[in-house]
Amino acid sequence: MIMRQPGRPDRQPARPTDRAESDRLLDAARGQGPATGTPDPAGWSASTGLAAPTGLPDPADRPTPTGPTDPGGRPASTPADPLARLLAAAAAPARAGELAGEEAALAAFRAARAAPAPGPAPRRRRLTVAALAWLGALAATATAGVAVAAVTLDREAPDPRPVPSTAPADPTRPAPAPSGPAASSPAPGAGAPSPATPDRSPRPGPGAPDRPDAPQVRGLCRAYLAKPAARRDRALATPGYAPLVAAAGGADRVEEFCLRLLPDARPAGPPKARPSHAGRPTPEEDRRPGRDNGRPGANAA
Amino acid sequence: MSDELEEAVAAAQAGDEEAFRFLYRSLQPGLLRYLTALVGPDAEDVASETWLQISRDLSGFVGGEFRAWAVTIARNRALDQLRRQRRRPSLPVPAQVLDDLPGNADTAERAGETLGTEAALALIATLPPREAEAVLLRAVIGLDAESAGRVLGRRAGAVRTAAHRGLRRLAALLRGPDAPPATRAHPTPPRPRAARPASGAPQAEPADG
Repeated sequence: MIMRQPGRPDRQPARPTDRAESDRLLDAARGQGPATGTPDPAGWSASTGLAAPTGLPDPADRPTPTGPTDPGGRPASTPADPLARLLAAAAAPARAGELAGEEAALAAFRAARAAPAPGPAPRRRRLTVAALAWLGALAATATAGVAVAAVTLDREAPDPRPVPSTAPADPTRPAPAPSGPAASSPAPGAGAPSPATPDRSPRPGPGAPDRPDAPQVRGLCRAYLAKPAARRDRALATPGYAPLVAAAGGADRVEEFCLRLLPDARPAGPPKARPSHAGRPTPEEDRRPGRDNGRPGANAA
Repeated sequence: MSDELEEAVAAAQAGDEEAFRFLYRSLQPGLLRYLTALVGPDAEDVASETWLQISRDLSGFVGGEFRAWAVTIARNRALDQLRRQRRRPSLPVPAQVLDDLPGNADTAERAGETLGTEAALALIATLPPREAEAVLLRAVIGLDAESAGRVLGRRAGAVRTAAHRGLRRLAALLRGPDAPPATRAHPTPPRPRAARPASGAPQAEPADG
């Protein structure tokens, strides 16, 4: 492409002659504060402005932002050197759509806060628990017979409701779960020790959402549901969502699983009807507080 | 790293959601642009994976240049993505973007002053990968050469050299007459890579080590 009229060598872009000159150009590209497109020069501490949609640069008003607004020394107008202009354009503030993942990122942040442990792979832990339960059940069966095994089972079973754990005589407890709670509570009379194993497969049973690592799964669900429908499948293929897929029992069940887990998060329209620059937090803010207050993070924390 | 960013990191580590939002808004545009150069259309997915990991690991961040830390995560995720796709890191250039570039002197004069972000990034993406990465990390993410070197696992001097070469190449592209409709027909920018980055081999000038 031709940026300059031929025959006007004096206006040709200054070709950086050495690394130092290149460094200056590169440093000047952003010509502004700490980060690309820092949306609010006043900073996050003036956070009321941040949270408001007005805190966002409105890319529509600024179709071709060549010169970043510069509070400091450099003039905000376009630099003379085409190369500098190019770099400034590349480093221009956020454009429409670039911040579309904001709510999903915040959901992930909340989820991480709710389930702090950075390390312990929840899946392995669950498997360990399951194995222990299985061994315990086996030993109990061998030594004390079916009834004791049933007790063991019930204690180790994944049923996470804070109901007194050794309550085999309480199969008819008020079932708060909308659908049949039977799946999560082995009937005390059943007696067969073999059912000890089923809890290793994380089924989308009604009890599943309350597993100890549920906060993480919840966060992933929220992030998942926040995605436009077209992107969901691809997201599930990424490792970050593996815990969610595992919890749901398969990628094809994730949506159903999440909708059951977060009934209030049911998106108005799957294809993300939200305005494209989703920096505006309002739709999420509505549902966030309730969820957060009620989140079962206490288990995990 | 600016004090502001530093404070925001600390506050986010303490659980301040608005601080995290600030971090997101500060970093995401640059991350996305950098990732677009690395993985093309998958950039958004990789970016959201990146933020997932940032959220998870933020508590373990012990200081230093936060942007470099975050970009390192993004880069690793991008490389994972490329490995998954079994193709080498390269810099796909969306063809339609190039088509949007001003094609004649009349519009060039105007466009030269209002070169859009998209077009600018597309031009940078025509550089050999190492140069493009160096330019993007320095100019778009805003890292200094040392931090960029840490992200890339190279010496700061190598980053400076790569960025310098990249800028010279860009300047040549911008200078027009000699390098005619360079970004279109001329083979210098690896146009084929736009379609499918099969070769991934950098062009004529090998990137320095």
